Amino acid sequence: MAVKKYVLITGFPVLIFFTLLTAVNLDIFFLKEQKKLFMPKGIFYQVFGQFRHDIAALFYIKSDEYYHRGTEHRFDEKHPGGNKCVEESGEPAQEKSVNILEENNGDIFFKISRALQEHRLVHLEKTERAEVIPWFFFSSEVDPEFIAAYTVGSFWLATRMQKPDEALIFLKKGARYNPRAWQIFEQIGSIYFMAKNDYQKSLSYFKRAYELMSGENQAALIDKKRVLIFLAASAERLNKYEQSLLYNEALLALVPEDEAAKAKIDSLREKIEKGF
Amino acid sequence: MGVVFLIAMNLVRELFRKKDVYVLVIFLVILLIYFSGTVFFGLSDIYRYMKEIGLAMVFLFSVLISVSFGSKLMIEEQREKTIYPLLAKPITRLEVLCGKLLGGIFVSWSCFSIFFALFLSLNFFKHESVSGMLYLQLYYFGLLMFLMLNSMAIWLSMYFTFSTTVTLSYIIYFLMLWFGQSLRGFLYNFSFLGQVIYYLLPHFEFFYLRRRVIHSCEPLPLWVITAITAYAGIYTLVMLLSAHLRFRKRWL
Repeated sequence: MAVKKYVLITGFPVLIFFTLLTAVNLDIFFLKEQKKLFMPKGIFYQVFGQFRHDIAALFYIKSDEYYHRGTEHRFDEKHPGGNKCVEESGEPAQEKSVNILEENNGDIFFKISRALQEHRLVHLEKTERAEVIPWFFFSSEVDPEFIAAYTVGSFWLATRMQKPDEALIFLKKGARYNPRAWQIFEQIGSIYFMAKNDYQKSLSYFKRAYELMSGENQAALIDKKRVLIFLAASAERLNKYEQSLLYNEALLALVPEDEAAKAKIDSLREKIEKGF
Repeated sequence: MGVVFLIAMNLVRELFRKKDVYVLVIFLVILLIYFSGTVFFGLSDIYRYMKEIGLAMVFLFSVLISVSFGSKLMIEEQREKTIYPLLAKPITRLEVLCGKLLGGIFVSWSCFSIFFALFLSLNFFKHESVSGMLYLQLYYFGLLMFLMLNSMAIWLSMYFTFSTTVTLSYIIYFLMLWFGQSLRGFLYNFSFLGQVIYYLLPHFEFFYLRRRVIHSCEPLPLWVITAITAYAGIYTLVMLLSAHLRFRKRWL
């Protein structure tokens, strides 16, 4: 009897331990299968396993909720101002919430739950915009492979917070964990181009992004177009007109009706002929 | 009434004799200090994430204590057979039940108040400005929520064992908190029966004003406060009466 009790008491924690151990090992096995070059480490990774993707996504969504000052948008909900926020539509926020409350007049529970929710279509004030940043950080900490957290977070840091150096550190951390994510390399290139005016670095990062997006053929046409435009512009700023011409020709091959690319090609050919 | 109060106060004393609450207080303080000191990319003046995490912890820890305490109130008395000397005294079963429920409520309120005070004091040090009325409403709704949660736990404990009661209480609480709003659309697909279930379920999501406080929304209008107070009061009363009906007929 005593042995049975002992087995029961110790058996349960041992079972949980081995289940967790198996889960973690399975996780690592699949990572090796995917030939990930940089194995994420850390407590979140060990504790949550594959579940961390969902937690990271929840944190990422939080940043959107914060940007809209806690307003929860349901898919089936129609707002009088369409998708425009208050500062764009110019309508008072309270007017929208009254309209929503007028629905389902007889149902008190519906009325209460609607009154508890926030229906203002407003964004954070400029001085409050830093409030969204922690959620990108948490998202990347929980799941270092959550690419959107790095790209969107660094966009906020570089453009809204005027902190391009911090954005670059954040992105380079992301690139370490996701060496095949063209989005991260494109974002690094954008920051070097627009915020740091370092065209040499922007050229090399956009090149890497283009290689990755072309190799795996995952990127949409619009993304490829954007990277090619930046590549051509970076080369042109460095007075590498032949290189810029090549990128513009690639762009024209991708989007044959692009008039801006045609004009740019003409102007570059002219510059090359004149010996600039 | 004096007897009911006496039973309730004994339970509050039991809370402070046990170590659970102290452990959670220390854990909460460590978490709050850690999160308030975190700097993200050299940015200062970021408060909302701390309010989000801090309030989540305040509610979570209070619910942990509340459910585990509320679920064992009647079951433990019967298991330990201390219910017999209690009922041998000039005291009715309803008074015992009321005393236990009141004790459970006092315990939950005490925990919630301690955790909430800790959270508020740290917020005060961060010099964060939020309408006092919002915090007052959040606190008041928290008290109402624990009133309902305790009555539900006691009612469930009349039918189930301790572990089942605790599990069911957590499941109902978290399901309603996370999916309470969207549950309406789902249950209304089942016509009248769905509507009845929707109204019978304890709507804990009504009491959760965390998001309004985090984003400094307008304080709630009086009609909402009155409606939710009435809802919590009626629900608690119904739970208490149905628990009494069960307890009155039970062969101990």
